[in-house]
Amino acid sequence: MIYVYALTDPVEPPAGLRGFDDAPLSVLATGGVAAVHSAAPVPSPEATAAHLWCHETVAEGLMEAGAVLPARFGTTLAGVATLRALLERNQRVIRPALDRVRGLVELGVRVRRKAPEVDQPVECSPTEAGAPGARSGRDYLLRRLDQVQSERAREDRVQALARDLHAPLARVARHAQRARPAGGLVLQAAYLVTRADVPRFVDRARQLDAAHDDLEVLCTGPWPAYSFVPELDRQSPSGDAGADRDEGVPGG
Amino acid sequence: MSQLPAARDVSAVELLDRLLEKGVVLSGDVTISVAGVDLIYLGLRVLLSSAETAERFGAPVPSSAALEGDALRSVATDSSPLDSDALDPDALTPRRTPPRDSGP
Repeated sequence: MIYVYALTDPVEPPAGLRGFDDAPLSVLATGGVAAVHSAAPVPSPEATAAHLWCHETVAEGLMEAGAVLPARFGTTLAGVATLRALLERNQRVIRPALDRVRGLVELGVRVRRKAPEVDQPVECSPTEAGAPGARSGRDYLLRRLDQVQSERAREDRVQALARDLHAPLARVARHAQRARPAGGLVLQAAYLVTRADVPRFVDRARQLDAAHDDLEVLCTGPWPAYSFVPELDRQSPSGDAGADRDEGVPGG
Repeated sequence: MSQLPAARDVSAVELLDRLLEKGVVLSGDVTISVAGVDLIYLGLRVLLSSAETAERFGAPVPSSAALEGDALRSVATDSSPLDSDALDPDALTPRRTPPRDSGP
């Protein structure tokens, strides 16, 4: 079993960089792309904090040598033949993806409210159709309409705010990726910026933070480009009988 | 300290988010073998997500003390080792998330 840390340019990893359990790193290069791997921890990599940081450290170390598309944590394959088949099948996707992230780092931004948004008290909850306050069906429907409209207005305000926050950050970035903000976040996004632009980006984040008393703008990084990776074709090719087989959800 | 607020806590969330939810998927069966860690992950995650999400995963919200650790990454600094003792999985109820994309 091998553990894959990242897809990279076909270059040697920086000297001294080691994998799990101090395992030496190997590079498998084919068709202008490469993958960096090592022996997999047996039976499978445990997601301890130390392992998570090891994966991260390898991905970051590789960025000194060339473009890096970090693999998801826990990526184990049966062997080098499987990896080679994957690279060959996907090189047309991997190469442009490497080009896109080359020389860039990812910065993460989350914007959240310091306190929940204060709202006008709502008299009639949407689930209480027969609430005591509702005299007639018409009254009730009017009130519901009001509610729906104010809800929508609030969503619009949040989205407008998210756009206002995103735009100045995106202008410093080469690429940006906005996630649907979950859990009351106003903005959740990742930005690919040149290393030289990192201080400028962080300054902008600070400015945004200072300009909005009610918001916290949280910026982390620089990370490898985890949020800017391509989706690969993982189908096992049927004619690939010589390849070692991927297998094994342990105890599955 | 001129750092953005709570950057230390968020950095751990962001790391876990990236390593466990993003990155190139090469294998159909990315597995994480320690139940405790999904917990750490979920525990950290609920700091920033809704109570509804927390409930859905049955994850208790960790005390902020569980996140104290001087090794969490802060904004625009180089990586530093995360002190595993700082994130004590035993502090959280053992419960595992169902695997996302692997069927039985």
